[in-house]
Amino acid sequence: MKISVPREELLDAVNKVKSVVSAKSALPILSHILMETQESAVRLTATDLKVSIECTVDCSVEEAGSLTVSSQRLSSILSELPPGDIRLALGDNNVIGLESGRTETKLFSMAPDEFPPVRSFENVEPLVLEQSVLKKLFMKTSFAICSDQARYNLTGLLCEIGGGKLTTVATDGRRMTLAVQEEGIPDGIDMKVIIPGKMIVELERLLADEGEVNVFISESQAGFAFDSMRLVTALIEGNFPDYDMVVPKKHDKEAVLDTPAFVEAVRRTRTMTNEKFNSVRFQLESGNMVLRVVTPEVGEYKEDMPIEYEGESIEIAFNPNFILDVLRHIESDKCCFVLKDPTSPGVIKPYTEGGADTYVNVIMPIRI
Amino acid sequence: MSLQRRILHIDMDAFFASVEQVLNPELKGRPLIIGGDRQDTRGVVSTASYEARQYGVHSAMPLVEAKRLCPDGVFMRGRFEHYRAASEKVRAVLETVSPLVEAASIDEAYIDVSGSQRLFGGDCAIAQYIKRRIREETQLPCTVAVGPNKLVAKVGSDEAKPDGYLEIEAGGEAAFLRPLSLRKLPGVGPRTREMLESLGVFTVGALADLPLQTVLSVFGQTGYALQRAARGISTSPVEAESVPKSISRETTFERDLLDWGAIERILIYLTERAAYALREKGMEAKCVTLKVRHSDFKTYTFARTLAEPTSLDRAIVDALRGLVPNARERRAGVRLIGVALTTLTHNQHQLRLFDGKSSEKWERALAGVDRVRERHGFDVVRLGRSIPLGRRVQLATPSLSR
Repeated sequence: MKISVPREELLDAVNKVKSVVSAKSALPILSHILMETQESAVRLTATDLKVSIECTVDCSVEEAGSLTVSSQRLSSILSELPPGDIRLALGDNNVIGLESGRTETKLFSMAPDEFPPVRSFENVEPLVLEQSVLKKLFMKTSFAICSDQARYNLTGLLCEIGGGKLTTVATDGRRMTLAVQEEGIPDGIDMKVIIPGKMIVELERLLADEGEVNVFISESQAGFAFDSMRLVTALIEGNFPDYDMVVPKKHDKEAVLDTPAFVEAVRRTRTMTNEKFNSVRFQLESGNMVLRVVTPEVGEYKEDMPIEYEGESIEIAFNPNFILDVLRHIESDKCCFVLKDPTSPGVIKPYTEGGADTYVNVIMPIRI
Repeated sequence: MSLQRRILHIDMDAFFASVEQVLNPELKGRPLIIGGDRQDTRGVVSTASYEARQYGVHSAMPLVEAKRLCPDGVFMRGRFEHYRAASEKVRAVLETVSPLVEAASIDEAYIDVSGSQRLFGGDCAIAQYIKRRIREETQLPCTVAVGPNKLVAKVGSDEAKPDGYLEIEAGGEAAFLRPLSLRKLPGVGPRTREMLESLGVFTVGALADLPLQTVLSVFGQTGYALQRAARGISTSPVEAESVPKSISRETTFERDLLDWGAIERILIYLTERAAYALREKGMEAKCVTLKVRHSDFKTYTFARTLAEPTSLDRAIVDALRGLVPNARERRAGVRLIGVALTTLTHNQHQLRLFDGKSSEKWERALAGVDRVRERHGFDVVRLGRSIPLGRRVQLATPSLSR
């Protein structure tokens, strides 16, 4: 294999794929990137066996073929090289020659056929969506994905399509977040998959704000193809909790708050918490909410905030980070804070005049 | 009007030994060594009565050596539940003097008595009252010192032992500490002492007199603190409710064990103990550590961070069981086993969306168990998988019954 490609473009592609490469893997080949020539392009692939990322770069192909190269080495040397064309050639004994201007690098490589194959989805009909739609739904919900591998079924994002709606749901057992998209979702498709959190992180990073994405779903894998990228992931097999059951239906205490003011107040209150004492008390009374924190050995904080509320007084405690995670993604000027009692979950959602809820966040309180 | 700061330090004299002597008057006047019985070849002295100390026996000394020094001594394994009961009685007395009581250990406490002066009529009256009331309640001797801060009060009670009283006037701190040997100063360990001695410093006073630059260049920032201590300066407050950083329970076996089935049962017992202490303080732990010491004294720890902080025996036991295979990898006899709960949180119970019902059931059950234990002692209720203590398995260190 022999190709010539501009440094910036190759480096950009390497940086796009290399984030799945784990620093220390039991399989040495997984620390490498696979490069395969196409008509007048080269395709780079990196994988950790669960998530694979491919990126295709235009280049001039002098001699077709494939090679593997250490992702770390390649990205370090490319970052240091001056702008210009890179000539990459696979020589004898799996030694790669990399030339640029007056520099010459030799890199040891591994046999390309050792590299694990990535599923192609040739016979799968793609679902076509807007990249921006998918990206937005992921961003709104992914923060609640569980990071504890012991709760494997919760370590991904539930994506459900049905009745012309796309719903994404994440939960870590302490909070649950749900976002719904109704526009631009084709009718007549029903599916429900759990996409691993790691894949969602990569997609959030790589999806653009315009253009389409082809989504391929098979029994055990999912693929996302857009622009020059293709990402493939194993799906999480397991049951996802019934999110509809989690969303409280009988909450009677609903307050309407100014979103930016709520964010600021919680951020201020949070400054008096620490790792061990991380709960803020919210005391709602007619027209007013008191935020209060008392942290042993640190200090206390109290703030009054005017709110629209007519119901009974209630005091409830939450982890302030859970509240802020949600508020960060609420775009409306006003939001609803819906409660029942100090041990039942609280709900935060954007304030809408009528219409169905398209973004619902359920947060379990901290016992007072 | 600003009060003059007066801090009282109380230290029970040869606490465990004294408790045993009260429980069994025949032991009075005899050299009594708590730590292990006569056959115990492995433990260390946890307390020696004053009679035993005359033979040169002191705490932390291997029992074997103590037996050599004091062949006629009475050797006993500790009965921690009695020590704890006595300690609680002492604490109750102390709390009648001031609400600011900090238990430094089971047999030591600091009390901020600045606000109690007028009520009792001065340092000496307070000390006499405490000593008398403790005698009445427990028949135990103690030593009390009062000074302007915790540091000098502590050194003071050490100087006045046993059954003594000492008062250090405000302004007299440095003069009081001056003639003392460096080893008396809290914070000076063997290594620090060695370094100071190499500078020709043998007394607290000499340390106080060293030029600050010298202290700083040898010890860095610690040097600054060290010299302040030597001059009797300390501002650390009496912390009535100190929040523990970790809760641990460990035990040494009478014989090294190879049977991990038996070891696991003891581990479960230790966990029950630790979790009980955790709940008593209204705390939860996020990190669980398994500690193993082998026959060759090599000690290994294995830790796991839990997904959620917990105070449930079951969750801690599950985490420990996950660590046991790692610990078993080294095929050597096990001498000591322990569990430590760290990354503790206080009153921060995060409720759960899904599995809350089952843990809440456990929480309620354990709350009931704990109430029974408060009245009838810890061992009346135990987990099914835990050990039947005292029969097949003998535990050598008293810490287990804490």
